[in-house]
Amino acid sequence: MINYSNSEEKEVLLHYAEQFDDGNAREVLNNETLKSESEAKAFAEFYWRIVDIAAERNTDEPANISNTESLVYTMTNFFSQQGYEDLWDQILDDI
Amino acid sequence: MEQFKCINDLREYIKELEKEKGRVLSRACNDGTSRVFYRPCDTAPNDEIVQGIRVRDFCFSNCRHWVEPHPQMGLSFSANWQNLKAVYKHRERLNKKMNINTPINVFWILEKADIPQGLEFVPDKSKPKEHYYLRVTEKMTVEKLVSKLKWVADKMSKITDLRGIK
Repeated sequence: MINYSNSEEKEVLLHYAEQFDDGNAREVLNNETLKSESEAKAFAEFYWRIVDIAAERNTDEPANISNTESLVYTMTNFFSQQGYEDLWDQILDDI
Repeated sequence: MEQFKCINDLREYIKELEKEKGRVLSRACNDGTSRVFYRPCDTAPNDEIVQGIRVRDFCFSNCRHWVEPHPQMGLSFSANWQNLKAVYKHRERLNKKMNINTPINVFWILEKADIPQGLEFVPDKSKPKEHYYLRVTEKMTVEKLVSKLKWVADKMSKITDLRGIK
């Protein structure tokens, strides 16, 4: 499961899954599991794409520096809990 | 170690510290910024800041003069190495996109450090291995909280990011 710290985190992820029309992200968010390495990688890419939007500091966007920072704790916890701790570590090296 | 050239240099250092002294709680902050306080440019444009404290982090009174205790609100700290790395990378990615060319220093304090009465470290119940809050345990004025946070900031050790420093 995804251990959100607050409802805003989930709303932000769901918003961008729709906006990007990202079927993989939608599936991960609905099932709250990572079924494969490729699914996990794509979900990580989805998150970092949202961070890039936060960097624009556009008040019309739901993503911002604060909620994407809060989400980074949730993402680390989720990848670790799903057995993809090493993959998350590699992804971070490539960021 | 008081300096690092890449974030992975910190892995063994943090592990050794934890073996010797217990859980290490840390924050990654841009060089030149406070380790505990925020400026408007350091956070989201819509975030309200009162005397350097982000309102979203604590349970503020409507008049913004008081802070009430809340079991799961407070200043965020990374509670393990991997999460520190993730927070650092988040900051690094933002800096790159925002054309901010500054090193990101790491500040740490022990969970069992002697901190002022009225403050305590508690794990985030939803992710206790990754994330801790520095929360208030009693109602206090914002001025009081500011002074206690300054005390904590003074107790935090700095590990300097050597990238970009000549």
